[in-house]
Amino acid sequence: MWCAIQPASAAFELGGGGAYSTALGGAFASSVQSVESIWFNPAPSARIGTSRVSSTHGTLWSGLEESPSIHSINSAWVSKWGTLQVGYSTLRAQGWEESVVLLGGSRILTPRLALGVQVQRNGWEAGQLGRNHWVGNIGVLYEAGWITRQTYVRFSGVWANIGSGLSSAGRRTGQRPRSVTLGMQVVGRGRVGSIDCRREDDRWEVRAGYESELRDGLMARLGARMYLANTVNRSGHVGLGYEWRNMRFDYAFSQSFDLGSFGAQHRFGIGYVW
Amino acid sequence: MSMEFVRVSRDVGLELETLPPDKNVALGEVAKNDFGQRVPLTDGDISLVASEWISNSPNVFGRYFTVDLGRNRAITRVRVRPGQTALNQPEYYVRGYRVEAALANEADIWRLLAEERNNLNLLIDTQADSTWRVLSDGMPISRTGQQVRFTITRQDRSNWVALGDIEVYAEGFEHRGNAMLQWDFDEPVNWGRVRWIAEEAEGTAFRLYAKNYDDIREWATLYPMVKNTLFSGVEPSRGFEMRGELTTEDPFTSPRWLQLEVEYDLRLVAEDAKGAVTPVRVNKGQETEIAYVIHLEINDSNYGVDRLFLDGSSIAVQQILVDGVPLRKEGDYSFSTSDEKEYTEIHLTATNRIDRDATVEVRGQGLFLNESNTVALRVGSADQERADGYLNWQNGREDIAGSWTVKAEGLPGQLLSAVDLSHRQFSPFEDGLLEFVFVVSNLNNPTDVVLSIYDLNGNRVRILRQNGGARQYTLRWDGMNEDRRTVDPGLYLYEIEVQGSGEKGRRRGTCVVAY
Repeated sequence: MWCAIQPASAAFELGGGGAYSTALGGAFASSVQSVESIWFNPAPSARIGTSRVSSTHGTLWSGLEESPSIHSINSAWVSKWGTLQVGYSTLRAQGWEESVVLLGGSRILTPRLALGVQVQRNGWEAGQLGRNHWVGNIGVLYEAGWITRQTYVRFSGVWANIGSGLSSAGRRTGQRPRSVTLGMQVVGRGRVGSIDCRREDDRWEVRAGYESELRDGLMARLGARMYLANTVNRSGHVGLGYEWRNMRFDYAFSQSFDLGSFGAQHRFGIGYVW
Repeated sequence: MSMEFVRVSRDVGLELETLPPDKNVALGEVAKNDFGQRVPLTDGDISLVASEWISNSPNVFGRYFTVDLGRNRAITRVRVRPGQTALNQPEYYVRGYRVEAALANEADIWRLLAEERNNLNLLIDTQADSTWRVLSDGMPISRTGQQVRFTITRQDRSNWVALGDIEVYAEGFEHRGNAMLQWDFDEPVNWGRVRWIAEEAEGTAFRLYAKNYDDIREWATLYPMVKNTLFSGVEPSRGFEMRGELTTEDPFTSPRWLQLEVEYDLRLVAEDAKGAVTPVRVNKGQETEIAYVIHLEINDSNYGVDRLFLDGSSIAVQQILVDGVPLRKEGDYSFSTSDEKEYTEIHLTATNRIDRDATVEVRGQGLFLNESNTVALRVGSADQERADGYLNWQNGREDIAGSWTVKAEGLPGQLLSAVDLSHRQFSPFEDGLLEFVFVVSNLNNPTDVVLSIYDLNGNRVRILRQNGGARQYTLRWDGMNEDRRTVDPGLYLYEIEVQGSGEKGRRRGTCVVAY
C-alpha cells in the first residue's frame, strides 16, 4: 500500500555529493572533513579550514547496457569573511541530462555556531525539452564539543529546497520538495560516525556512515541508507579514501538492495587542498 | 458416468468421497530416517531386509522416522508394524515411542499424537495407547498434519529394533477424485460453449477436461477448460469425453461440482476441414514465406466457411487462393493478428463465402521462434454467428499426422531479445503510449512476461504483464503509475522478465519521461 502512494521521484535523486560522502551513505550534513559537504549542508564549509576543490565521476547501475553516468565538481574558497562554495553536478543517461548548480557562502557566527546559505538551480533536458528551477538552502552547524576526553560531537540542521512547490506539477519544472535534515557526527580517535535523518515528502530517510583510519592517510568507510516508512531502495555503501600530500583520492561502491538486479554503482573522486 | 473417489452429495452435485477408515494414507508416500535417507516403511510390506528397517545396533534411543503424507490429513490412528525380523525374534520390539505430526505450513512445529513409555506389544497401535484414548462418540479425535514422525524413546536393554511399516489412517475427504462423462450423438456435431457451476472453497479446486473418443492423449497432458470457452479437440465428432477433477488440500472440505452445460450445433460449418502448413522446416527467428493449405468438404446442409482461424502463428497474409483462383486483397478478404496471442484470423466477404468443396491456400510471412510450432486450423461462419449469437469455431484436423507442425532451426538461441523502445523521450500527453517491443524465443509453455518500471528511488511505479509463448511482444505504458496518475518527468528504470526463467529471461534498461 505504501508503494502505491509514494510520490515517484525520477529526477534529482542521485545528483550531488561524491565518492567520499556516498561511501558514508550520504550521512554528511555534519561533516567538515570534505568539500563534498556543500551538497548536504551549506554551513560545515565554514569550518573546513582550507580551500579545496574535488571532482567525482561515477557509473550508476553497472548492470545496464547503457549505464547512466554522474559527475560533480565541488569547491570551497576560504577567506577572512567566510567560505564561498560552488558546486556543479550532472547526471547523464541516453536521452536525459539533469544538472544542479550550487552557489553559497558560510560563516562562523559564534565559536560554536556556523551558518550557511545557498542558491541552487535544478535543470533537466531531454531532447528539445528542458526545465529549470531555482531554490534556496539554509543550514547550521553546532559544535557541541568534547563530551569525553576522546569524543567530539557536532550537530547540524538543514532546511533545503526553500521556494519549492510541493505539488507534483511543481516537479515538472525541476523542483524538489522541501526537506528538513537533522544530523549528528561523532569524532573519536581515528574514527568518525555520522547519522542524518531527512524528512521529505512526509517520509523520513535515515543515513548512517562510519569511517576509520586504517593507516596513515588510508581510510575505510561504510554507509547505509533507507526510508523508515517503507523498505524501498535500501542501499549499502563501502569505500576507501587516501590522502597523499595535498591530494585526496576516494572510491565508493554502492549496492541497492531493492534495485540490486540493475547492478552496483561506482564513484571515483579526486581532490586538492591548499 | 464413471466416478473415482467421488460421490453424489445430497442430490445436488458431486463431491469427493470420504476416506474409508481402513485406508492407509501413508502407503506409497515418502518415509525418511533421521539422516534424511529414504527407508522402506511405507511400501505395505514388512519382509526381511528389503522392506524393513533394522537398527543393526542397540543404540536406537532418539532415532526417528518421518512420513510425508503429501498433504494435511485428519489423522485418527497410526500403526507401526514390526519387521519380519522382529516377528521371528520378538525381542526386537520398541519399548517406548512418541508419534507427532506437523502441518504443511508449520513444518517445524510438532504436535503430539501419541506417546507410550511402557509398550510391550510388537504391533504398535496408537489407538490403544494412553494418548489416543481421547475419544469422541467412541471414536478417536483426529489431529491434522502432513508430516508424521515416529520416534523411539525407549529400548529394552541390548536388543536391536526391526520396523516393518508405518501406517497412517485418517478421516475426512479423499484429496483427489474425478468423474467421467461420455456423450454419443447420432450425427457428428460441432461443440459450442461449455459452462459449469462448481463450489470451490479455499484450498479446493475443480478442473474440467474434454477430448474426443478417438483422442489417445492422456488426461494428464491436457489443459483444463476455461468457462464459457470452446472445445479445443477435433470437430465435428460423434462422441466426447469429459473429466471433472476435484481436488482438496483441506481434509474437511471438498469442492462440489453442481452443474454442467454444453452447447452444440447439429448444423456444421463444414463436413470436414483439413489443414497443412509448408514448409515444415524454417530458420528460427527469420520471417519466412509460408503457405497454409486447407481442404474443405462442404455440402448443402452446412453453413459454409467465411472465417478462417490459424491458431499458433501471426501470418502477414499476402495472398489467398480458392481452388487456385486468387482473391483480391482489397474487397475480398481481410485479416487480423494480435500483439497478445499468436494467431491469424481471416474474414472472407459474404460473396466469397465457400459453400462447396474447395481448396484454400493462404500465403504470407510467418515468424517461428520455438523449435516446434503448431499452427492449428479452425473454420467459422458468419451465418452461424448470427444464428447462435456467438461464433462457434469448428476445429479442423491435420491433413496428415504432423502437418500442422513447423520445425524451426538455428539461431536465435536466446530466450529474450533486445528491447526496442518506441520513444527515447516519451511524453504521455503527446506520444500517448511508450511501446516496449521484444521477442521471446524458445518458450514452449505459456508464461507470464512482466514489465516493471521503477523510479530512481526504487519504487515500482507500474507493472504490466502479458501471458504467452514464443512470439513478438509489445507492452504499452501510458506513463501512469498504479494510482492512474501521470508520473513526473525523469529517468526511469525498467525490467522485462520472462517469469520462471531466471537471469537469462531478463532485460533491463532506462527510459525517459519528459513533458
